[in-house]
Amino acid sequence: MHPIPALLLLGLLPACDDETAGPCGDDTIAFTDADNFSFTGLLDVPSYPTVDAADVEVCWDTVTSDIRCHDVDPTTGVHNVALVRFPLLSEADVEDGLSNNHMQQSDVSGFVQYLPEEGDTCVFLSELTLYGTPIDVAEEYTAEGGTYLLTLAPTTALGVGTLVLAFLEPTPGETTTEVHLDPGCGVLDLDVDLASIEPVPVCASGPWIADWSALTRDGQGNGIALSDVDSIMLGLYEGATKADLEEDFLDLETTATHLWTAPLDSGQTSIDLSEATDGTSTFTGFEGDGLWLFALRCSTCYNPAPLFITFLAPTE
Amino acid sequence: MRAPWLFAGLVAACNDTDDTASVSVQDLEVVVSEIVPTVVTVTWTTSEAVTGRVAFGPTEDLGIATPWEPQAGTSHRAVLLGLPPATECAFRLVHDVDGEERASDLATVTTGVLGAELPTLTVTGGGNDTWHWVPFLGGAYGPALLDPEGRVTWWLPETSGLDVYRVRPALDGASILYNAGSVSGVPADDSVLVRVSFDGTEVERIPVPLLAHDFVEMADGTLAAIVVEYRDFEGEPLRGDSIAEVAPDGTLTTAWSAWDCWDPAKVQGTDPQYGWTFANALDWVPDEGAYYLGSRNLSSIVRVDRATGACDWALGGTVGTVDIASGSARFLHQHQFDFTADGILVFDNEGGGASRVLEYAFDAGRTTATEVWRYTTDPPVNTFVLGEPVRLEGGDTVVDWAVSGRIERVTPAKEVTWRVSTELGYAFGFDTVLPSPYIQP
Repeated sequence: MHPIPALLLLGLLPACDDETAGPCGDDTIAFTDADNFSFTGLLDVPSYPTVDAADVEVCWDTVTSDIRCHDVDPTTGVHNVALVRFPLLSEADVEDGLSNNHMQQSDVSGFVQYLPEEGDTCVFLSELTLYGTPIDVAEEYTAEGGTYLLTLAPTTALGVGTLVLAFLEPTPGETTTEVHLDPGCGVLDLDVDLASIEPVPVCASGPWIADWSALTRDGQGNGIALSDVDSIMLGLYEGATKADLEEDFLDLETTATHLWTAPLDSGQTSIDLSEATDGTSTFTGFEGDGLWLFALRCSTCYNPAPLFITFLAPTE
Repeated sequence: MRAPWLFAGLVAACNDTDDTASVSVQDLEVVVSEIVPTVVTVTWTTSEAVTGRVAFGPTEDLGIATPWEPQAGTSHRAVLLGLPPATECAFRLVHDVDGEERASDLATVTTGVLGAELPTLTVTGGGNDTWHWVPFLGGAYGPALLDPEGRVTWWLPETSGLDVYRVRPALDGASILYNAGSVSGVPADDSVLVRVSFDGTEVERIPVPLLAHDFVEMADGTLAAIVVEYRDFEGEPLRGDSIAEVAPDGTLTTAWSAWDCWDPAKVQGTDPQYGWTFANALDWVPDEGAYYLGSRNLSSIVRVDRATGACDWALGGTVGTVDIASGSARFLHQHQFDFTADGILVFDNEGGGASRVLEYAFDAGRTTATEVWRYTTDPPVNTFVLGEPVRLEGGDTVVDWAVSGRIERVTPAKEVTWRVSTELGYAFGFDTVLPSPYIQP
């Protein structure tokens, strides 16, 4: 049997494709684990003992910063309040799981949420619902029930861009029925090493196809789930040192001289950097002197640190 | 990345004619869907009328095949379903020539990527051969197809703000069906049954107000779904249930109402804050002409005669007609169920300390149920909504732990041979388990 046309075509594809390699010989910037930064990012989530098996009013009127130490307006910046129960995990287990991005839904035995209106800064646990169905607080919020994690988020989408984390501890004998949450800044204990990164050479002229399909580890050394990566960031930092960026690690988006980002689809492991945009125009080249930083970000990870960071070294 | 349509464009631009030994293939086009970029539509013509299909898969071993075309012709079209994203996949055309299968050489096509909102799935074990049409809930809402390795191979987000609980491949062989509604709190007036072509290009939204958890499709194309039905009781509206049918011509009728079977003054369920019957699972048994309906608050699985509306048989709970044998566990607030050769599997959400699957065997007249098997996942979970067990040929059982974000395949000896788990914040809806992406169970 003769080959079908598609097969013939596939043989012809290179001839039909007039793409040519860049002046440096390869358009692809292939990242490896060796290019990644290293960090430890441990969440130290505050605990709030409360009455056991009774309603509690939770207030975030004093939450003026998030876990990235960015400012928060508590009256307008919180759009999701969620309470998650982990029946078999301790608070330390949950902190470890959140810090290292390995929590699973099967760890959860209950979930309720509240979507605040603008101006709301308090809610009773009895007002939280499972998509509209209220819970019996006396039955569901008990010391025997497990570990209770409260999260505040800036959007109604669950788990995206978490602002604040807190444990509520129903405790027999405890009389506290009102909790005022602390600001988020300080919950995340970061130790970042950007100085050891060996910049990845890239051609000054494009195209630039960034490819991270070979990555197996994130910056903490944990196995990386590439499907967690949902955007890329490319930043130029003029006049900055690596030490400066380590110091301002949680503000990499705001301290860049010029920043380009691009959303990714699930499982996408490469992108043409010319698709990244600064909000008004797309990336056109490595124009400017300074540190060029490339990062893979995960908006749904509770640990706000990017999963991958490296520096690029444009060369002719 | 190269856009999927670009590859298709190159195919067309470089296409030529192929003279096979007995079938001349022309005008081959391979198009990756822009809406569901794991779906590939292959069209071609042949010089003589033959029936065709496409064998395909993520490797050169292929492993999947489209159904044979129903009749011979010279224009052919096949939609490849079940390919993993961002993968160079292989396919070949297959023709039936005088009863003999003639296959072309292999060709390849590269699929695109799916939505960023999809969760990371963790898969352990192996050897699984089942496909799973299952919705995601929580961090993402919409119908999906998991392949036997636990990869998402089809995904379309439901952006209306409604939840999705069940997805099934439609009997037309060209589309899927799913429900979009709200079962917690106030049911949605704008709930819909949705039909989407495999490639995502055709979407039909059929309004069915107050949809609940589950629906079925009958052989003639009629759709039947649980809907919430309020009636006044003691001066207040009380939330009961009915079964709505959507005929192929779109006519919406009520096929059955819980209010016609029971009187809330005499038949009372648990958790009245959620309503009265709170039906949550629906099966259709054509040989019996009967629906089987699960009622959470009655903790009963009820046979409903479609022709008469009679509730003439029920297992468990408030309205049970079947004796549960001494020593056998009873279920509480169950969700889906699956009839076996001589009994039934029940997803028991709250009857034990943790959620579990109970299997009962019936006596000859289905008047007594005796527990013969039970399974609790390790570590145990509390599946507070949804959940479904499915018995496979060969005796293994697939258990969908639903909002606990876990699907398992277990042996009769309770060995877990395959498990897929979602990351925190993402749950599964009901799980329609199939031996192929194309076959209705």
